Amino acid sequence: MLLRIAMTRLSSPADAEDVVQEVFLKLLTARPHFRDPEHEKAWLIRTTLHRACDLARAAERRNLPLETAEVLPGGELPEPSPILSAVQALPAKYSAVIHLYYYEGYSIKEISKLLQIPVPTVGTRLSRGRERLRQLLKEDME
Amino acid sequence: MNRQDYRAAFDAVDFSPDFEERTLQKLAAMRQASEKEQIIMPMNRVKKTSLLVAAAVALLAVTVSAAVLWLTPAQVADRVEEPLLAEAFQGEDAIVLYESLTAGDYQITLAGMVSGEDLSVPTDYNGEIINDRTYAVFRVARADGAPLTDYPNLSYSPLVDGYHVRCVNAWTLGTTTQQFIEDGVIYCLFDCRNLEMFADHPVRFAIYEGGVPNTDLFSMAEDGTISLRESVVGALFTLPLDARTADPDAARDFVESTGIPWEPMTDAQLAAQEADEDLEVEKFADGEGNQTFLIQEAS
Repeated sequence: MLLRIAMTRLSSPADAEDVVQEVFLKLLTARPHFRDPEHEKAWLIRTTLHRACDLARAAERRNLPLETAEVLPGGELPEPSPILSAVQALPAKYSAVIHLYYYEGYSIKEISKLLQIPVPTVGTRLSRGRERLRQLLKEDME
Repeated sequence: MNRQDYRAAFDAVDFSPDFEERTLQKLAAMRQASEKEQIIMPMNRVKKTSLLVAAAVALLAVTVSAAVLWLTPAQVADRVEEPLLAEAFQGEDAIVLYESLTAGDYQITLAGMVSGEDLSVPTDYNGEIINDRTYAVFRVARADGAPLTDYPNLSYSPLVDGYHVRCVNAWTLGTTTQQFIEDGVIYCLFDCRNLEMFADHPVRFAIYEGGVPNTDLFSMAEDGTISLRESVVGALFTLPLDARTADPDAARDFVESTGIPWEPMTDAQLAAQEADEDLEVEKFADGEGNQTFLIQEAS
């Protein structure tokens, strides 16, 4: 689950793996106090998203698209899925909600709890994110 | 875009096959370093840390495709002082599974298995030493994330489709299990006579509440497929054995050596048998060679 969430911000599976490893190492070292497993799950999701966003931003600052760092031994990049590319192109606030809704099957109320944002905000982000995704996929088709 | 397309796009992402192993090693190394520090910690801190890890472990099984905080099969073998087996679990012949099923209050994960000769300390099984064995490592955690502090009342048994559950099971296959609890999770190393001889049949691994496998616990279909009865709390894994390793002659010799009828019985056959057992047959002879049989329900 966390690997895929990281992939909503990062185009390289290797970067996503690094992020998830870091999150688990942080879990062991920081030893945050959790009320219950749901609280812990929310922490894991949010920390993964934050770390993945940090890494994506750092790559942008260096003006080095992450995908260029992950050239396969044959020298060719794998063909990215249009949906995956479109999700990665969305602002983080939309892609997180879209992913938790579409892939993980969470309800708007559950996403609100996981991301600690109000239910109406989740609804708005889902709706706007969906619209932007539609446009991006349409552009991709054209 | 629909949910199916979206999921397919993310499912197609190719993550490293050894991600889990690498992460686990890193975490284990960090945990070991942390355990050394804990020696000088007050007891309440140690307990809190263990509970935290237990909750994370149970949560991972539910939420993360790669369960990264658990001990690997090789580490489990090491803990029970089986270095050769630990090595075998890291070898090419080992099968990595990490398949999880929920059984009642428990989440059971079959982590891996390996088969071979002389991989563990020889043990006597009813006067016989069987060196050629199959080993499986699985772990049991509470599905709600609470740490386990005691061993649940679960039985573990291999079963083979096409054979009666009373004939081929943990009790007839010379099984031993070694288990321990760490961070609220039970780790179990199970071993029995090499199951590869049955590899041309689906080989199951059952973890369930109950005793010796019987027809009250398991049903057998006409084609020999074994299933858990609906009333039984348990999980049934299918072991991915290589059919090329099957040895039908050895399998036949084994089942015959048990002295237990090996042919599976469907529910219909069982019902017919029970009906027969419920009838009493009385024979009358008239002294002239004529015989009359009186069949009636047993009182």
